[in-house]
Amino acid sequence: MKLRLPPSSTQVIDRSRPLTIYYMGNPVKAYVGDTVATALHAAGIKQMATSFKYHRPRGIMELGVHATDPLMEVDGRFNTRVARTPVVEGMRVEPQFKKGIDIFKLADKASKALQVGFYYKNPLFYKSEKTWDKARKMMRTAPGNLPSITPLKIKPAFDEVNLTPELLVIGGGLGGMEAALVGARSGVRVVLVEAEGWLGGFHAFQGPKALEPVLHLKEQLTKFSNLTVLTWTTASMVYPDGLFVCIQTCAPDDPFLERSYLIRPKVAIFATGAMDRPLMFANNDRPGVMFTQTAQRLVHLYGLKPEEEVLISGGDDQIYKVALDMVEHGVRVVGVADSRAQGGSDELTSSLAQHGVPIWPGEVVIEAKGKGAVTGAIVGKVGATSGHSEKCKAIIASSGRTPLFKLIAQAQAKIVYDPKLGFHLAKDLPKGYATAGRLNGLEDQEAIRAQGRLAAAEVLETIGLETKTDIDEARELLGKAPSIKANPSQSRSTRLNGQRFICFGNDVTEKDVDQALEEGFTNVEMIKRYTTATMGAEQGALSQANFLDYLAYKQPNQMGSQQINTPRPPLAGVCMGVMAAGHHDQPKIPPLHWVQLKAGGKTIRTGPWIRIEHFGDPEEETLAVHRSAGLCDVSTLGKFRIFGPDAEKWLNRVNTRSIEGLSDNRICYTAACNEEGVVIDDGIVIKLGDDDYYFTTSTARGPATMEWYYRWKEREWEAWLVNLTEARAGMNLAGPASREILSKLTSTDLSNEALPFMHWTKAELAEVPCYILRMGFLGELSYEIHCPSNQSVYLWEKLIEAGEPLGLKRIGLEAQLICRLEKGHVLPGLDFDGNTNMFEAHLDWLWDSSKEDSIGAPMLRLLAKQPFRCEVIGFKLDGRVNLKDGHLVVNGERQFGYITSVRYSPLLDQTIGLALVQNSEELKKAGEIKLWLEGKEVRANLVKPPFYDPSGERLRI
Amino acid sequence: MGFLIPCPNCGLRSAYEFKFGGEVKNEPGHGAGLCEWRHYFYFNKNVAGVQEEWWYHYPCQTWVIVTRDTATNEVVGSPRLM
Repeated sequence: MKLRLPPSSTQVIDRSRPLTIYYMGNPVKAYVGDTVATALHAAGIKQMATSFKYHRPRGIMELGVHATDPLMEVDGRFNTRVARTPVVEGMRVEPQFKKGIDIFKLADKASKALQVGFYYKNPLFYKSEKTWDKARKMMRTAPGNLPSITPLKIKPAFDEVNLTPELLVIGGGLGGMEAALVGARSGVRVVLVEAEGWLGGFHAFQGPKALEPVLHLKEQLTKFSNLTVLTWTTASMVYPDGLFVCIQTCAPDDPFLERSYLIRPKVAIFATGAMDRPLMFANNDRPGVMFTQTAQRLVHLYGLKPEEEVLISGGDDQIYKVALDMVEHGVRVVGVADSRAQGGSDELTSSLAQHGVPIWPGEVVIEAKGKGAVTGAIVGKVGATSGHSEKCKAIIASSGRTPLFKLIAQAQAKIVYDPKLGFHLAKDLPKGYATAGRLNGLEDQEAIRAQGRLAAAEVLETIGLETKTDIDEARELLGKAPSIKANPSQSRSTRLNGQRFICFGNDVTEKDVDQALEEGFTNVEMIKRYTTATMGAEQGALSQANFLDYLAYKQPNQMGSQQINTPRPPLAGVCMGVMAAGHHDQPKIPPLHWVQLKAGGKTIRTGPWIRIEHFGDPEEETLAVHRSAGLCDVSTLGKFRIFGPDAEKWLNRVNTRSIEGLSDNRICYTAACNEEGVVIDDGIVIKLGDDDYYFTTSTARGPATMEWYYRWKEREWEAWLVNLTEARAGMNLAGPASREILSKLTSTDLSNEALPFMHWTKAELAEVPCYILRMGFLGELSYEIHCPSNQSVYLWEKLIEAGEPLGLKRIGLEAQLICRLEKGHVLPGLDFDGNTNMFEAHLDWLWDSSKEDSIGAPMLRLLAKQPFRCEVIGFKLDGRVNLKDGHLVVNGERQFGYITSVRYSPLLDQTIGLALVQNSEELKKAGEIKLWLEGKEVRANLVKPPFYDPSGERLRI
Repeated sequence: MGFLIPCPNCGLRSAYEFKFGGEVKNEPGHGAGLCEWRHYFYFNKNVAGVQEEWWYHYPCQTWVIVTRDTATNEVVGSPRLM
């Protein structure tokens, strides 16, 4: 059975680019431009999925933007909307339904067992806790047509783009294109988003004649550089503060899988169109039952027959148009059932009759026949319970249309049911938003186009733009247009042979709604939740109209207003990846990374940085520091230059130590507090010259430093701050042999007299200009060397060359952590929490209280008299104990705090650490603390740090 | 956070380029006690309406004070540098 038709001008498939996809491993021929659904349809596949509750076979019913079903697994991604997924060469498609015995399918036959709320009503389920537990587990795994989550083997790439046009137009049909052109001609930036891969909307699939204005407008669009057209882009979310999020399915040659456009326009036009309203009849969910638009899309866009034999049922003139389309493409139309007693116009009726197609006025499909797919239909008089049986392979049916208002409803418009027209319209649009086209119920082409122009002119006027549109002409055209046609009434047959589905997503039938009403439910929100109607994957797109219509029919007094539920973003399912897009992981690498890696360095990720953790044996590295020397890359430290007449004032405000009178060779070690007196960082400051300073911060605080400093700068201060973190590299050379090593590379006097502890000097090391800062973060005689980043590798290699004969070892972050811990040196981000004040951290000696208030000083004055909430304490144990950062400090049931840093020190043969604890007085009295380790209490001695060289004499040699 | 914030240097930019710095509050005066200071740190007026607030624009490293209606996210008036 060959369903592919010969080429035509309306088709969007590219016959010159055939490709192959795979369905259950079998090759399926398709063309670029096909969707997975149309490709499978061309291959004759009818059942593509099963329904949620009863596991009924389901096929293609809808192909437009709200075609959530069928859901299939495509290239390992489950729940892919095959009607919305363009084919790509080699795509692998799998169904998601279970094969074999399916208890829920059996339940379909005895649907009484699975009536609405069955799990509350059957004592089998709720009688005992055990059975409820079992039943609950069974129900959770039961649906069976949804697979379990398995992580994808590939890591898809997602993109994010921000756009700020003046005008956003949603919908690329006739109305949308006209609106976009008005905007483009006025000179403002316009973005037009279209969910399909092609423009024209409804009129793209009405045949070649209707396509002509589409082609004309399409050509116009290309003439404007200020107009961006985005296809395969679905406007999915609208937020009250004017943000529109549109999700694009990227083309196969795009490096990204999907892209989110965050669009913040000044004004917007919604031209989202209208879809078919499903006709109600028994078994109206069978594969082979499809909407009129679906049949037309297949024929005109994809060059596919819906079937060889079709039957058409509806209540408006469009069904005759559809019938003619079918006949002209070689599809046998078994008959057209027009629910209107008077039928269609004479013109329509006669042109169809000429093709020998039977027309049945006053009749409607009341039942679909066939188990796995449609094999026939029962057509009867409107309201009848029986009729004549017809053979057919597809039932093309609709009961009028439903405007696609879900997006504009997100934009806080009021969606009101018009009882005369029989559908919902958007009213009370927010300022700057307008609607156009089939969304407003229009069907006449000229009217749609005029309304598009008018809408654009009106919204642009609200932002003060005069457009070159003849508004009066558009208004006149609109006024002359034929009046908006009402929907036919929904079919109310009482035939009982088979279920009439209101909600295809959750298998909710008219009978289920009847039952809810019988049980006394009177509120539409409650009935919705109780029956779960409209709550499936399609979220009411196909079901809400009939749900509300049926309720209004059954209870006109209570539910005649047909008030809709509030649609919320997104319009349809959006994958988490595209929402996270734009937050690409961009780690930073210090300039000395590669040279360390080559020497066997092992990396570790710390925040944004990739650092070297060790070179094989971090404990050996610490011993090298104590015995000879170690060289450590500290390039990640924040480094800043601050200069200008008011630089000193600025430094003094942010830092707790006074910078006043700082001589040009002394290093000032200082801390910074926030307004609460909590220590946020420590670092050093040196004076480079008059009004010229250089300071460092911890690695973690580097990025936030600019922000912090600028927060406290007076507007009138003349001073500037430059971030040199990446411009300068840093190296720590620590150990008794350091001086000797450095002296090999410079003629500058580095003796203890010339460069004492906590002093610095400029020097050339191997002709590289450096600052040499003599400090002692790691303990032992040590120098922190700052040099330009682009000369750091050279200097590093020179230092290694000079130092290796003297026992110099490269050391990493881990060795650094052990050494600094031996000296009890705290790391603000690690050894305190966000509430540890200066006193509790034992850093109050860094506060010069006599100077003008720095940030935090007022609080520090008050905190000086306050008891400690917590305290940093030191502890040690003999030998190697398997304690880790975070282990708890306990006593029986009580918890005092936790270990912030703990390491084994090979030099001391002790496990040493710092802990942040409350009620420290109690612990100090005991002289020891207990730690919780692997289910047991372990005792540790309380020790006042430092653990090594307490007098600091080894720093001062 | 769909709204735009006017940066004096860069013009209207997406709110995601900024860091929120809290309501503009008046520091307690000289000699204020712990209670007053803690109140200043931890208590916010949280108005459902117009308030002055701090925003830091990362790209140009500038702190601005912006007046925003928290109910509608509409930024009113002009931003001011601190």
